[in-house]
Amino acid sequence: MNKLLIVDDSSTMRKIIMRVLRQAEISVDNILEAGNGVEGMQQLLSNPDIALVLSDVNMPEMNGLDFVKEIRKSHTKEKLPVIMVTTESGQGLLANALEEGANGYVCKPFTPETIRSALEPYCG
Amino acid sequence: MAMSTLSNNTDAVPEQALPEPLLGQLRDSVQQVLSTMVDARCDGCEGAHGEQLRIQAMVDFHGAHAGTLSLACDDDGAASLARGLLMLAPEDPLAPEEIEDAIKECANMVAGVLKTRAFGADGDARLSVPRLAAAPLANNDGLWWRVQAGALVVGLRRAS
Repeated sequence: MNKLLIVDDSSTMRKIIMRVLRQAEISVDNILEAGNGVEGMQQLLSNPDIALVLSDVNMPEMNGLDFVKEIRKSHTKEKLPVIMVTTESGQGLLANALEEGANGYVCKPFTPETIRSALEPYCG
Repeated sequence: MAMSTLSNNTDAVPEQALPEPLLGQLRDSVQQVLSTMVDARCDGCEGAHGEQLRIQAMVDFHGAHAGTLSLACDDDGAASLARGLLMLAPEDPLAPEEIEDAIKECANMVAGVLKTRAFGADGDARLSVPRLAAAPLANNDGLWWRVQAGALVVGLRRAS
């Protein structure tokens, strides 16, 4: 995979995800970061070759659900895989995320195996 | 360790006795986060032994189950928790901002797990973004853990 984007307002969580990707032996050439949905959209505009997005839900400025909506509004990003990584495990919220266009979700706390399983379909 | 010390305690959560089911769910939630995400020795323990709690993060529950979860640490506990989350070796550099963010994220995860355990996956409880608050300095009522040689205390105040 060329580029992966991690969107989370916690720098700790972004670092944890990067570490878990290494532990799960998921090969990524370049990992980009953003602190909220607004920054995430800017990264997507600047890096059209991003192949996968991992996004938190509960973030300031633009939350994860609105971020997914914005991605799906973009004709060039209609099929970009987006996985939500969230402490919010309510089935209603997760179903809402899938309806808005997310491709899957991982609930925190997670193990490397959980991340690997969620990302495997998109890691060719 | 250089860390932003919050000197007043106006945001300190006055702990109240929680009903046992909720207390157990809080204990299990903390344990789940520590055992899954923190690469450090973490053991539940009995209350205060003179530790100075220096940093505290809070997450609010809004909705039918309104309240506030607090997670406070002494200096050693905060550093050990951050290093354990980030899988850093003792000699690796660790900035105060990294410690603060790690404490907030840990509180965020505990609140998320507690929400599901205590109020159901679709219960009427919405979580705030975690924030730092003035540390209580001492806390004899929360649930205590040892994280390596440091202390971590988690409490829950329910809105009346």
